[in-house]
Amino acid sequence: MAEAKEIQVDEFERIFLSYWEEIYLYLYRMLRDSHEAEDAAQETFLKLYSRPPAANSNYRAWLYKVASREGLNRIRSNNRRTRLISKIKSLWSNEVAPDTTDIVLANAESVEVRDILARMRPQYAQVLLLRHHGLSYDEISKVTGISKNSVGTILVRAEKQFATLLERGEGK
Amino acid sequence: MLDNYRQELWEHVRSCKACFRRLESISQRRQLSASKLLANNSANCSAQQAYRSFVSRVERSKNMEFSEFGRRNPRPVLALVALLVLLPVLVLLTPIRSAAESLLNVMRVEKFTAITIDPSELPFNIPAEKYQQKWNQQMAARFGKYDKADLQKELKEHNIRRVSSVDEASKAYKGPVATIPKQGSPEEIYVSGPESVSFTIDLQKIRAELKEAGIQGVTLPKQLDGKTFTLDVPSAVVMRYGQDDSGFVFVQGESPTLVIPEGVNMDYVRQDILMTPGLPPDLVKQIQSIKDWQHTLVIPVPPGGDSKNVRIGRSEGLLVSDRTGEHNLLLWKHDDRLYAIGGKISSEDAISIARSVVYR
Repeated sequence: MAEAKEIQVDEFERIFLSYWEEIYLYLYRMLRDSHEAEDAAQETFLKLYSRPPAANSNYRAWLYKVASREGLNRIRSNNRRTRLISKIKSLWSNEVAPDTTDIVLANAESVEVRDILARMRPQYAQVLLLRHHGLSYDEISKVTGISKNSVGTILVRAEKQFATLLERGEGK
Repeated sequence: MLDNYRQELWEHVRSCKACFRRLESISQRRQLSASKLLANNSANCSAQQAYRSFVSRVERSKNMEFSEFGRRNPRPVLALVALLVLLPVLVLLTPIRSAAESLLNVMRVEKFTAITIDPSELPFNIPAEKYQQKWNQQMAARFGKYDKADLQKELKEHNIRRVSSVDEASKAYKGPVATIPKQGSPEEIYVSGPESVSFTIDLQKIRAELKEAGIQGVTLPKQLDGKTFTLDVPSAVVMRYGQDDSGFVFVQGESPTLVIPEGVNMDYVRQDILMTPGLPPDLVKQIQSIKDWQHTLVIPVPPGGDSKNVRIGRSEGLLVSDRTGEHNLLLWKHDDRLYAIGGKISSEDAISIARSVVYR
């Protein structure tokens, strides 16, 4: 196995500034909460800082891989979901003013999307998110390790599973 | 050439109703997932601001560097190493062992689960054969050819007393002791503890002990250095049946309790370790799937071995077999006590004996 290298501070800063926004946005789309997304993104870069990948690695792919795992682990956390649901319940009390309805609905949709992603096969959720985040099939292949020829097929399956889970949720 | 292929494909889709419908369906689902996933896309977080925040975080923390040992391939050892070194009777006298490491984060044992680990898939050098040799030597020293004087000294150090009868064991244990009447009298009976052990993680020392055990390439989180864990181990009774390395041991005792020091969040430590590059994904998945991991004793199944849940009275026990099936370990809980039968014994015999235990 190739030795991981020490990462110099100026190089780390360059990587951080280059990729921060896209990693943060990717996690935000997954987690639907700006604070949590920021925290997850910080954790991702912390891992880069403390345990950089082997020399000549593709940093971008590595960051997406770690961010995916970080994000998917978090959305499977029941604690977070419970807190969001509690938050929504409190917003649905009689004190909710009419102009907060949009916020409430947005939060409800966030919970729904997180719930669906948590219930999907991890690989499907990851491919779906990466694709809708704008990564090419080639880039998705580098992040996930799936062969480039299989990415399209898995994407179709992922979208099908997402739609099915969404439909089941709305039918309740 | 690609354009020609695409053109050909599109011509076909236009003319084939089934393919057209399928494409339409895929397109609709794509739009649906895009609408949901890209909604509320108003997040904003400046990279410069985030970097300043990141630097502050690193500077505040003292725990961001990992101490290296051997290769720079971080690996989880942690509480398992400490427990393996310090946890008395229940672990040391159990004949079934695996050379693989496992993540144990047991606060108090309420149940058991097995995980499969293939040492060859681990990213660091764990010379399994060498470790197994050392373990066999230790076992031989305890059950085979050993110097009696040395053994007595070691037993005394760990507060392990040999007693001559079940009644004497009950007195020493300060409580009723379960027995296996159909097996007759045990060859040897030992009572250990109670013992309370506080150990402060000394990464240098652990490194040396791992090296002696032939384990290399391990990196331990620096945040644990200097932290003191307390392991409370209640009394336990060990009965040995059979001669030399044949036969089995029957162990009983209340669960040890591991007290995690303040400032150490084992959830984070566990998650951090599970993120270690190089960890077999299957192993990570197995460990992450353990619900209530703080109360679950994780037993690694030897390569080629097997495990299954078995019913022992009202409890669900765990049976772990080695590759040959000749050595088995059966663990279960009855009321507030943990029990184990292990050794050169078939799985059927282990289960039958466990079900014949008389609890007093």
